[in-house]
Order: sequence, then C-alpha cells, then structure tokens
Amino acid sequence: MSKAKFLYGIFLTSFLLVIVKLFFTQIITPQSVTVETYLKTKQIIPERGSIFDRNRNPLVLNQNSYLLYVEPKKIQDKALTVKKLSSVLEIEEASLEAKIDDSKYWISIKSGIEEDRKKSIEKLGLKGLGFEYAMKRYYPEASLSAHIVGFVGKNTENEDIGYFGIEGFYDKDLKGLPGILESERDLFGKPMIIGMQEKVNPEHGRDLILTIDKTVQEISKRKLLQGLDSYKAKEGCVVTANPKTMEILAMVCLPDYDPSKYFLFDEKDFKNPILSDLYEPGSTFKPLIVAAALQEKKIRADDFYDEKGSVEVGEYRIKTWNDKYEGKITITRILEKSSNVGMVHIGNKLGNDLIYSYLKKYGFGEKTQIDLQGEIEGYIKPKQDWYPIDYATVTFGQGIAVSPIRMLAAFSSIINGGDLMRPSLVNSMVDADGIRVLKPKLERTILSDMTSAIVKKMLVSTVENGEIKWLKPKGYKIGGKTGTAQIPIKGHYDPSKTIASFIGFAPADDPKFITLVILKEPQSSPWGSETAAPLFFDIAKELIVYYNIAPGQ
Amino acid sequence: MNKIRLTISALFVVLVVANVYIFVSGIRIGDEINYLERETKVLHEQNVGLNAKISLFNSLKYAGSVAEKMNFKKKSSPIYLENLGFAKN
Repeated sequence: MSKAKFLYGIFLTSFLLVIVKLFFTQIITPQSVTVETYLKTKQIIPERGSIFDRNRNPLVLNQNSYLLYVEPKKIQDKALTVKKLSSVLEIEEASLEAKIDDSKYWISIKSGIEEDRKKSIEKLGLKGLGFEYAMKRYYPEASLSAHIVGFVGKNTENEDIGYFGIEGFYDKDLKGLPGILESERDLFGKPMIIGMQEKVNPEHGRDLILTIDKTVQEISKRKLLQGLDSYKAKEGCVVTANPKTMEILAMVCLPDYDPSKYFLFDEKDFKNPILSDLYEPGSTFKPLIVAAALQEKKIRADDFYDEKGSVEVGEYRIKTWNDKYEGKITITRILEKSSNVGMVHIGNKLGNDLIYSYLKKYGFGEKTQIDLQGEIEGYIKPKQDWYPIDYATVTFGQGIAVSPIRMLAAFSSIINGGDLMRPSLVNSMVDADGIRVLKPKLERTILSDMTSAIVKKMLVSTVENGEIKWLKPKGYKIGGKTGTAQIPIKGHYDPSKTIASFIGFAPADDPKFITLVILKEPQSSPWGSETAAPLFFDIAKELIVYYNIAPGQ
Repeated sequence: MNKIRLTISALFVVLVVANVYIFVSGIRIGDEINYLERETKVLHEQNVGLNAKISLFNSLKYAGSVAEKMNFKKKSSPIYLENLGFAKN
C-alpha cells in the first residue's frame, strides 16, 4: 500500500468519524446540543422615560442600580464573606448566613444597590459574588413632587409598573416597548460572524415635560410646611394653576412620602388629596353662585339686599358667621363679608332648577379628567333628593362634596372669561419621532366675559375690603375668597374641626396664577381668613417676585 | 490530467486559505463586537451616572444643602431706618 493510499484511508476514516459524530449529535441525541446553546435570545429592556418640569429641569430620571448575587459553590470562605458583606450592606450577619444556601448555585442577595456601594463591595475582593445591571428611578429633588409623579414599583410578574400620579397615569408611555437580540454565539459567548445576528431595537419610553414649575412647587412646599407648623394644622394642600389654561404649576400636599423609599410608607400616604379626597368648600363656593345669578340676569351687580337678620328655611335658621347684620348691602358686600343670608337671597333669586343646572355646568359630581391616577368624582345628591334647605345651604358651599381640583377648575372658570378648562399636568411628550404637544382642553363655556369681569372685580373688592385686607401686598390687585367648612361626622358637623381654605389669583387684571390653599383642622384658629388666607398671601408674595409682576396690575 | 489535478489542488489551497482567513476574521470581529458591547455598556452606565450627578448638582435640594452649610439660610434681620432725621435735613 502506497503512502498516498494510507493517508487517504486515514482521511476517509476521520471524515467518517466526524459524520457519525454529527449523526449522533444531531439525529440520535438532539437534546444534548440545542439551539439555545449557540443562539442567544435576549430581551432588551427599554429605558423608562424621564419626567421634567416645564423648564426642562429633571424631576424623575433613571439611575444605575445593581442586583448583588452570590454563587455559593464559588465562595472560598463563607464566614469571611458574610462578615464583610454584612458591614457594607448593613444587613445582619445571621440573615445573610441564612440566605446563602450552599446547596444552591445562584442566590439573589440585594437589589437596588447604588454605584458607590457596588464599588465598595468590589473592593472587598471576595470570590463568588456578582452584579446584575438594572435601572431604578432617581429623584434629584427628593420628595418635592411626590404626589405628582407617583412611584415605580413591581407587579406580580416582578416587572416595573408605575403607581399613582404621572407614573401611574402615563405608565404605557413611560414604559416603552422591549427589543429583542438574537445572536449566535460560540462557547465563549462571543458572536459568530457567520451565524445569525438579529437585533430589534427597543422603543424607549417617552419623556414627559410637565406643566409644573419646579420653583413654584418649591415655594408652595416650603410655605405649606411653614403654614402647617404655624397654624398647627393636621394636613394641608396647595395647588397653583394658570387660570386661563388650567395647566397645573404646582401641586403639593403634606404629609407626603419619599418616592425612592415608597416601601417604607403607608398606602394612605400615596393618595393625592387634591384629586382623591372630597371636602365641603364652604364660602369659597359663594362666587360661583353669584356668577351664575349674574349670568342668568337674576341679579345685577349694583343690586342691594336688606340684611335684616337670620333667615328661616323650613325648620332651619340660617345666620351669618358672626351673627351680625349690616342692613342694606350690595352684592359685592355679600361676598366681602361672606354673608350666608345674603347668599340664600341670591339662591332664591336664581331658583332651584338653575342652581342645580349650574352645579352640573361647573362639573361638580364628575371627574375633571386630570391626567393623574387616582381621581374621584365629587358628590351631588340626585335632584329628587334635594330639600329646600339643601338649595339654601349649597349657596354658601355646604351639603356638597367636591375635590380640590374640581373646585379650582370651577373657580378658574369664573375669572378667565367663563371657560371651564380641563386641568392638565403634561405639556408635551418627547420620543424618537419628536415632540408631541398636548394642548389645553376646553370643556365648555359657562359664563360670558362680562359676567367673569364683574365677578373678578367683586373678588378683588373682597380681598381689599374683607377681613383679610391687611394681608395683601401693597400696590397689587389680588382677588380671592376665604372658606371655612366644618367637617361632617356621622350626620352632623363637628364644631371643633374645620377645613380652612382660600382661593386667590393675581394679578387681577390678567391673572398669571390661581392658588387654592387648604388646611385641615388648623388649631391656631378655625377660620380660613386667619390661616389659609395668610398662607396664600405668603405664597403670592414670592410668586409675584418670581413672575416679575409689576405693582398696579 | 495533470493540469486538472493542479487546478483542483490550487483551488483546494485557495479554499483552505480563504476558510482560515474567514475563520480568523470571524474570531477577530467577534472579539471586537464583544469589546464594543462591553464598552457601550460601560459608557451607557457612565452616562446615566453622570446625568444623575448633573441633575443632583442642579437641584434646589442640593443648593439648599450648600446654602445651609454656608450659613446662608439664616433669616436676615434688616434694620429699617424709620426716622431719617439727618437725611431729611
């Protein structure tokens, strides 16, 4: 046999061996080498969109975060590992010891680890530890806008999901769509160039530009904190909007929570009382009824009312708040002194049907459709259940339950020319295709420009001649109305507990902002004029400087 | 016959060389992709981290904490000169 034939024989035998091996591998025992061995399919998690204020200052961003895991089989000295990890992670040694089960291959130790802590763990030089990359939400301004932005938690499938506020309402927009990476890799995990390499890029979540102004938000929160302290109130809220568009500029309620540590707080803290709580608006409601009566020409701005004393409605007697009566007074004076009996007179002039129809026109009893998760409807009894006393008390804001956001939207309509606008928090959305601007939405027009101008003038007079006249910054025209409502408990009012409120706007000629201040159960004084109103003027003074509003407007 | 054999042998050698070249290139490009993937990941993480840091330094919260450290948070108590006798004269 020649050398060539011998070599040919070896070559052929080897070739046959390869074919036999391939036959066994691919046909006889295909499970031993599956597609997954080489074809790596990976879901590419999209980045959640960021949230900015109206001046593009970040309110919520993404931050690097890591999951620390251990591979017990690779750990060299378990006791040392536990001891060192315990001090860096601030976890009890016993808990760590119990968690690291030697019979397992992979154990998750802690998620949400920040970069700095990851570096200090890496410096320990321990074997058998590893990190998995993830992202978590980051709040540069901490809890400044907690109730607005909400937070990101996990659902039952351990996926990120937005809860409450903007995160909840715009979850689908913020979340984006995952991408897919299919790549054939060798045994070392390197891509095989001649193999399949397919990548569908993820669609990252949309960035949201809010109508919120971070500075106005900061002023509101700082002042509310001082207000709660000064007036010893249990809770409080401040919401500021542009009255022409109902774009929310600031929205803060205290107590609030830290969205980055939401798991440390009670579920009731997540609720935004501005849209999820109802209250009796009290006297802040009066201008709405006056506006309705003027619009329907049932009263005139220069009409007089003879305020002789208390009035009887059925078996009930209605008095002024201080039981003092001034005789012949104007409609403006009714608002200035917040006369309940004067309001009953206006209600009588307007008539029960029109009162009810205007409550509906202002949107009471329905949601404002604000773009935040958790809004509830107000409550108005069905028309057939209304008694004469109900029509009388509703004129001064009792016997009706409204949400603060609905109250603010209705009040804005009487000073902006009569337009009921839908409150909104998102100004625009940004994605790969560009910017989509969300325009303010007009629900309906309720009042004429003339009626609105008259009521606005009356409200300026209310501030200038009412009990709160000394609080107003000199040289500025500011309109507003105080409100003090008792809290109904088990069918009657608790005389010791009140909700003090004030709605004001400035500058009166061309309002740049309207602010509603609510204080729950203030202890220093039960009256809105002595608690919520001073707090409003404290905020207004700073906003006037911030918006560079010149005196005389 | 010899010519055909020579051609086949040459073709065989060319194919072997091409195959080796493609194989080596594949490994090299695979390495490069792997390296770029790693680098992109690191850059992305750095970018996210820096973005968060920038936003922290621009935040009102940080400005407030610096102001407090520098003692700028104390309320000023200006003295108002109500009787400006000298100036009026």
